[in-house]
Amino acid sequence: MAKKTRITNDIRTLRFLADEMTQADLASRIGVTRQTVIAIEQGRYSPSLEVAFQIANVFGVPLEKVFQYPEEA
Amino acid sequence: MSFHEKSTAVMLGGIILVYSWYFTQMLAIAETAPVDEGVAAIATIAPLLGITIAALVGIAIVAHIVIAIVDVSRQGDVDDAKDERDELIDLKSEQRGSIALTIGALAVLTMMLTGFSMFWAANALLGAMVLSTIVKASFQLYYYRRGV
Repeated sequence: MAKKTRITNDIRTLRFLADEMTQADLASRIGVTRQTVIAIEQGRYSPSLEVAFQIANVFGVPLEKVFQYPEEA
Repeated sequence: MSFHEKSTAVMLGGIILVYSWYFTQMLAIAETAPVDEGVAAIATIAPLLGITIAALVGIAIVAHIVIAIVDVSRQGDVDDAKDERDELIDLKSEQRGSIALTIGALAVLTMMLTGFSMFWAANALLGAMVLSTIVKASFQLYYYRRGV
């Protein structure tokens, strides 16, 4: 069954810092739908590595600035 | 809600509605028609099947036109492109649907081996295909809502 991913992200903050880039704008720049950007932001979908790198490239930051994964306790 | 999600929801409703009508009518016909007489029995429900398919095609066309009009009025265009998330949802849902189809096919096989007529076997197979489609569409909506 689907469950919320443990991967977190700062896409919303990065969009805000990038002149309040819209979800639709980000979606068109990385070649996915706006609903997919929403799902990624809300942690309902973990994107492929390729899309993850594309998102990082759009904001001009390393991948780990966009996505984080909690270390095992 | 994306174009594909709306499309899936509408088609799920349409399939449930149309096939509920079909199976109700089929059972009514089976009470009076000679349904155990081989291929001729299938001919007794052929018009019903034709109406069912035509109704589904009609619902699909009208529903997608309405969805497109609503999308254009709300967001200026129709975004029916599929991306990696849509494809993953399709794949996972197809997998769930194929389990239902396999179980249904085994049930039909059992029916044929135990002497059920072609009429009942054909309808059971159709039922399995419809159930498979319903399972697939239900999982698609679940994955769109809850995440994949």
